[in-house]
Amino acid sequence: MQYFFQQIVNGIGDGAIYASLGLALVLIYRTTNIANFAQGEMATFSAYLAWQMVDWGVPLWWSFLIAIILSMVVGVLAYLLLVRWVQHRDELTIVIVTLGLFLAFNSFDGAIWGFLQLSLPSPFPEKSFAIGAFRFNAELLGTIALLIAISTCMFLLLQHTRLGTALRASASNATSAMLVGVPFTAMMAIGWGLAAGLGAVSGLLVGPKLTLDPNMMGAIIIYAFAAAVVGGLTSYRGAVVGGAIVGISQALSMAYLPWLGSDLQILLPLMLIVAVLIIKPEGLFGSTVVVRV
Amino acid sequence: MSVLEIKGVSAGYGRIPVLHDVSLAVGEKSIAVLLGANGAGKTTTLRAVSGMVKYTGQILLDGKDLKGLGPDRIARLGIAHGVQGRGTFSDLTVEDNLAVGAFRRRDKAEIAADIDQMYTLFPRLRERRKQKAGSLSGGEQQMLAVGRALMLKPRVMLLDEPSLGLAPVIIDDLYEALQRVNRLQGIAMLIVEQNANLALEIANDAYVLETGSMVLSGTARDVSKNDGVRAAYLGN
Repeated sequence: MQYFFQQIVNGIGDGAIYASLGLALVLIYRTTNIANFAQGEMATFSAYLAWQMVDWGVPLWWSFLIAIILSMVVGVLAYLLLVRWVQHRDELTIVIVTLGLFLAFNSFDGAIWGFLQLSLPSPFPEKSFAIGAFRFNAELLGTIALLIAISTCMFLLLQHTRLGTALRASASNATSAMLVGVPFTAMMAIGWGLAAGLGAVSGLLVGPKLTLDPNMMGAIIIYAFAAAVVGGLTSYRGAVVGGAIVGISQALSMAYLPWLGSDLQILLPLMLIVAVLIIKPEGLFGSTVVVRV
Repeated sequence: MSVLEIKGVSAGYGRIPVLHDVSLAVGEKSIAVLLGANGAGKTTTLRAVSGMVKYTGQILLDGKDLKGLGPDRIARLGIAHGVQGRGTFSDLTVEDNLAVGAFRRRDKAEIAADIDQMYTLFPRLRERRKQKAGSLSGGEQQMLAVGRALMLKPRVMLLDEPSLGLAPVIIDDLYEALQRVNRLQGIAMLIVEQNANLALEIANDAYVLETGSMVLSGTARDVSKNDGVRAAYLGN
C-alpha cells in the first residue's frame, strides 16, 4: 500500500512538469486558437539557453531566469515573424507551420549544440525529507511548489489585471477587442511570450531529470498534449488536473505493468487521449460553447 | 465645430464599390442619424470611420485625420463602435465586458463608478453581472454592447442598428438611455437605423443614403418632413 502511494506522489511530480507544458499549450490555444506542436522543442531550446549560460559560468538561478526571459522574447518573435501571417488561414496550414517550427528549433539546437547528451544541473538540492512513511525529495517538492506558484500567477494575471482581461477579450472576439482599443497583435504576441515562458520552465525542469539533447521533449510534449486534452484544451485548471492524471497513471503503469517496458509506456497517454475524446470530447474541464440565438 | 467629419469618402470591398463621395458631419454633443435601405452603405460608412474598411477621401476626428490608423488606435482616440448584432465577448462575464470597454482609460476609481452607472442605466445587466455574456438574451447583449461602448468614454459613439431584433418596450428604454447619456455626458453619436421613427425623434441631424450616395441631409426635423423619407422609412 505504501509503495502504491509513493508511486502516486512520484506521479504527481512528473505530472507537474506535464502540466506546466500543458498550461503553455492551453494558453496559446485560448489566445490564438492554435495547437502549438513546437511548444516542446521551444522548451528544449530554452533548456539549451540555460545550459549555455551555466557553461559560461553564470550562476545557476541567474542562468535559468535569463533563459526564461530570452525564451519569452523568442516566443514573441515566433508569433510576430511567422505565426501572425498564417493565423487566420485554415487549420491544416497552421498545423504545418507549427510542425515547421518544431523542425526548425530541433535542427537549430542540433546545429549549435550537437546531438551529444549534455547535462543540465538541477536547481534543487539533492535532499530528501521523510514525512511519515513517505519520502519526498527536494526536486519533487520544488517542482510541485513551482507549478502551484505559476498557476496562481497565471490565474491572477488573466482574471484580475487589465492586461489579462484584454488578453481574454482578444481571444474571445478579435474585432470587438480592437474596437475597444485593445491592440490585437500585441496581445497575441504577449500570449505567445507567456506560453514560451511557461514552456521554458518545463524544459528547465525536464533537463536535469533526463539528459539534454535536441529530442529531449519528444515524449514529454505528447504527455503534455494528453494532459491538456484530458483537461479539455481550453481549461487551465483542466491542464493541471490532466497533468496529474497523466503523471500518476504513467507512474502506476511503470510500477504495475512492467511487461509494457519503457518503450510502450508512451501508449498510455495516447490511450487516455483517445478515451477522453470518445467519452467526453470537451474534456473533463472543457466548456462546451453556449451561445443563445 | 464638428467632432466627426466625413468628407468625400468612397469605399468598397475588393473591386466592388459601396460608397460614392459620401460626406457628413456630427456636431459637438449632438446626435446624427444615418438612414437608408438594406445595402445602402450605412454599415460600410461606420466601418470606414472605425478603420475597418479602406477608403479614399477624408475622415476627421476633432480635425485630426484618421487615415491609415488601425481600429485599435482609432478606438483609443475616442471613437466607440457598437457593431450590429453580437459584438460582445461571449466567454467573458458581463462585468469583464464592461471593464474591457474602458481599456483606453487609466482612471481606476472612475471606471468602477462608470460600471455602476451602466448598471443603473441597464438594471438587467446588474442582475447578470457575473454571468457570461454569451448566455444573455439578444436584448441584454445589445444593452451590454451599448454599455461597453459607453465605457470607452468616447468623443463619438457609432451605433449600428441598436434596435435590431428588440421588443418595442426595450427599444424605448434603450433610446431613452442613449438620449440621457448624450445630454448628461455630452457624447456625440452617429446612429444607423432602419427603424427611423425613434432615431429621428432623438436626433439633431439626419442623413439619407441611397445605393452608396448621400441623397438627403438636414436637421432631423426637416428630413422627417420630407415626403420621400416619410414614404420610405416612416411608413406613411
